[in-house]
Amino acid sequence: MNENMNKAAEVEINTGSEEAKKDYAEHFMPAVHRIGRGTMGISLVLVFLPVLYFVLIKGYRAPLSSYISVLVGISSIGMGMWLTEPLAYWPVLGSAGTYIGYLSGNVGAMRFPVAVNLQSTMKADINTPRGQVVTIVGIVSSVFANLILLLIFVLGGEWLISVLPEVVMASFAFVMVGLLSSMMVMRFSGNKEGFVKGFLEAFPYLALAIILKFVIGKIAVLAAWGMAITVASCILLGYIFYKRDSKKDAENAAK
Amino acid sequence: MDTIKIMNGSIWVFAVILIAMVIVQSLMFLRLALNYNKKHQVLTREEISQATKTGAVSAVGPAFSTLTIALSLIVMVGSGATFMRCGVIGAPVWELMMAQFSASAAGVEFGSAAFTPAIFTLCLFGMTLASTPYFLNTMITLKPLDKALVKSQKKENGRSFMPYMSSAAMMGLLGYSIVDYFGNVASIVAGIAAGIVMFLIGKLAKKLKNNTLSSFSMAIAMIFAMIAGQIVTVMMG
Repeated sequence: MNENMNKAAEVEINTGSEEAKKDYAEHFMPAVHRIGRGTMGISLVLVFLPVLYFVLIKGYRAPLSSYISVLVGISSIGMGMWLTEPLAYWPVLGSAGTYIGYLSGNVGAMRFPVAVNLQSTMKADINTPRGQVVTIVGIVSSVFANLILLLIFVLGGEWLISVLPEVVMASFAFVMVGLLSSMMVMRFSGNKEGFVKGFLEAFPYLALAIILKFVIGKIAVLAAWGMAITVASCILLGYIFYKRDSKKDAENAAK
Repeated sequence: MDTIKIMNGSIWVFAVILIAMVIVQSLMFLRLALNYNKKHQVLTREEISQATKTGAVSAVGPAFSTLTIALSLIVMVGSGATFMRCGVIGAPVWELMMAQFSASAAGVEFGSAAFTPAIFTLCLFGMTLASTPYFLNTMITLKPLDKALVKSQKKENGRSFMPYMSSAAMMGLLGYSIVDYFGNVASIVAGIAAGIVMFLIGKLAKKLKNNTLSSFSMAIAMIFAMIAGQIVTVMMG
């Protein structure tokens, strides 16, 4: 009885009351898109201002042919990522997190880890009001921290490198791998039924992703699409598991 | 490097405008989230403060790891452009690549006499172009995605597909990214060390019910990864 009550309380925390859900669907999410689309639209114009200023007002003009070759070259490198990357991160960051991440940058190295960390430790799914709020607070905080650090580096970076011993500088090469592996462990530990269950649930996705990365790495044309293909395949696998579990639920209910 | 000296001042002005935009956007989202929370109390005060700490702490490691690249970017394009490009969408590595690509498209080397303000402007264009299509993407796709999500939630009774989707995407991204580090013994050891430390800190934080510890867990795990990786590198000579 007590255990059931605890479970009920947990579900309540995760999904919120009916009123909270209604407010979330009717006001919160529309506001997210209003803010997101508005700020991204304004920024889209603002980012090109420096170039326009230098070309039109200061008259720093490189040949048009150079602009065209930059346009064509960068488009061919970037197109695959432009189309697919935000969609790959969206199931984890949520819409607000994706808007913030793609204006402030550093999605993979900062915004994604923050989201995984908070959603795992607080057991808050991104598609619940609780998950959205905690992810927004964490990501915004990482944006401010990054800007402050960036300013320090830009103004005092050379001094910083001169005081940090070389062995420390070299060891920064291991930050990303440490980050990725601790994110995985955090996710496994965040499972309600314990670490081992968490690992077992995640294993099929991980294995599929690793295999796909090796296979895609062999096919040059697919390089820019690799992340999207991998995430899409994992979601498809997730759907198969979802159908399997739903079927089990139905069988249990019939009993 | 006269070119950079000439242009750096004006670029700082634009950098400030753009960074202000990033701050405004973040504050708008933050206000929305906090107002919602005030009304419905989906998070406690402690949880909000834990989220703030976690966010701030987790920016430190990755920021430091790109420090050297950020510095080479400063040498190449100046402080203003580095601040502008790394503070608004973009990470130092990507910006460095794009700047180099743009200059070489014009057949010019960085730091050479041919690196004129016109070429620098071309580089700025390249760096900007390399990231802005993401803005358009989010503007176009995210709203319909959320709508589709709501629809799918309404249709299904009982079990929801959403947790499956975010787990699958999360693990897909993690698995895809970690493969890059499989080729190097020191990296593998660093990864394992971080994983073990993370596991132990998680256990400890739960036992002590210490939320501050869990905000710092990733940073601590990263420090252990750095130490372990560096020890192996030195040992392997």
